[in-house]
Amino acid sequence: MKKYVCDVCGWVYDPAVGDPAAGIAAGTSFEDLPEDWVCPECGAGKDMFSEA
Amino acid sequence: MPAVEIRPDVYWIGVNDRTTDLFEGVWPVSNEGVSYNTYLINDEKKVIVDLVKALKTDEFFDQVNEVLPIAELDYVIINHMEPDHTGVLRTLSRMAPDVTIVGTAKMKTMLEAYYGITENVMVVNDGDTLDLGSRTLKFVSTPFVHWPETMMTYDVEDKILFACDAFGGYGAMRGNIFDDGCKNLPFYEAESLRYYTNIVSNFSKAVIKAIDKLADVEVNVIAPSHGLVWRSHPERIVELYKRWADCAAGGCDTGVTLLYGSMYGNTEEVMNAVAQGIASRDVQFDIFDVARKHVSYILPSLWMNKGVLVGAPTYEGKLFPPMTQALEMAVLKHVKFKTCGYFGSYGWSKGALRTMDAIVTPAKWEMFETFEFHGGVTHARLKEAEAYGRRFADALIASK
Repeated sequence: MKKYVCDVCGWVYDPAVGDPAAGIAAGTSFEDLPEDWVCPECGAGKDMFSEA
Repeated sequence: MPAVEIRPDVYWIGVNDRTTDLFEGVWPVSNEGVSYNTYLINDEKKVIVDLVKALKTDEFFDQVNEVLPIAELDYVIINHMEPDHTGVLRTLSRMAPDVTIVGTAKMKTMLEAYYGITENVMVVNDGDTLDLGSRTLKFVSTPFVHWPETMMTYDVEDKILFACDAFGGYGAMRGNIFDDGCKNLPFYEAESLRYYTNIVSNFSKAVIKAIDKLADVEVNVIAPSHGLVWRSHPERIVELYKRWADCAAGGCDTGVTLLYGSMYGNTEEVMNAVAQGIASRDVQFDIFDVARKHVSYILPSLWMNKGVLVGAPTYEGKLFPPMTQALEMAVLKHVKFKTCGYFGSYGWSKGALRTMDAIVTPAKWEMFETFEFHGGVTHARLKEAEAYGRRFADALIASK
């Protein structure tokens, strides 16, 4: 599964890790993240992410 | 400059700043100046849209007074919290403590963080409106143009878009604030590009999103927070911003930005030979001495050109420091997907290329051939350099 990087602040979403603080389990692909999920660092939306 | 009426009862009450030397503490504006555009709507409700830097507090209150006494103010709309626009808020909130401050939820958080203001704040969401009497203001959420809390304000009846930093540019006003009265439009457009690449380029995706969101909205006047007020051809500045935002994917022009640095003149002499090679082909190119030209003035070229050639020596095992700084700033500003090359001299060991690779590879720059030489200039090296420049230009043209 591909990693995605936040265009705004550079934070990397790693599917192997997920985003536990936001209730996203490890193993969740970027595509499967809910549409209203935001970057935990800066709050940018999914549409501000690019493939790493 | 006294208040300027844009539409009946809608005034520009902005100020010119020819004092600040570094915008954001980084970008030189001494030669060009910058304006802080703020607007006053004198309807049944009295509203000011965006403010100014604290440096201009006195002048700001003079400007307000041109139209009405500060005590009559009802609302201040904060499209964007950046202190070059909101600095005067600290004084304004003391002079007009009952004024309602309007902005997004994120604006409210920043308002407290920056100025300790928590009272009389009205949070608005995307699509909310404010009735002023004869006209209505509509709020459009445009996050990350260029901070998370940003929004724009649209005067529905007058069809004026108060876009804040979007569609803005450097350049103080010369007695005229409108695009039609401007006698130096190329200068202001160039300063808008410089502003874009210095301040906004990192957020190009958000810019495109904001432009798309407003595509069906009829806009007669674009009134940004810096630079010209576009009342004759508002579509012109939108077109420019869209073109620049579209360049985020790798540069629009098949041009070359040639950056160089040289300690003793060897790399510089070779640079001129490389330039001869490029010049023999039909490509536009710019040359910058990175130690002497502030990166603010290099970024427009870097942004718009597909090709980047870096010519700088190895310095203590790494890339010549002024070149490192220029490249790091470019990468910070999201200058991506370039076709690049490297050439330079080294005294005993190489190392410059390693530094450059580390900086530009994450930004997806693709490295063409490189050309390094030990010590000084020879005829053979100059010919090799010229051929290298030719090959680089050819590769660039071929990849169009």
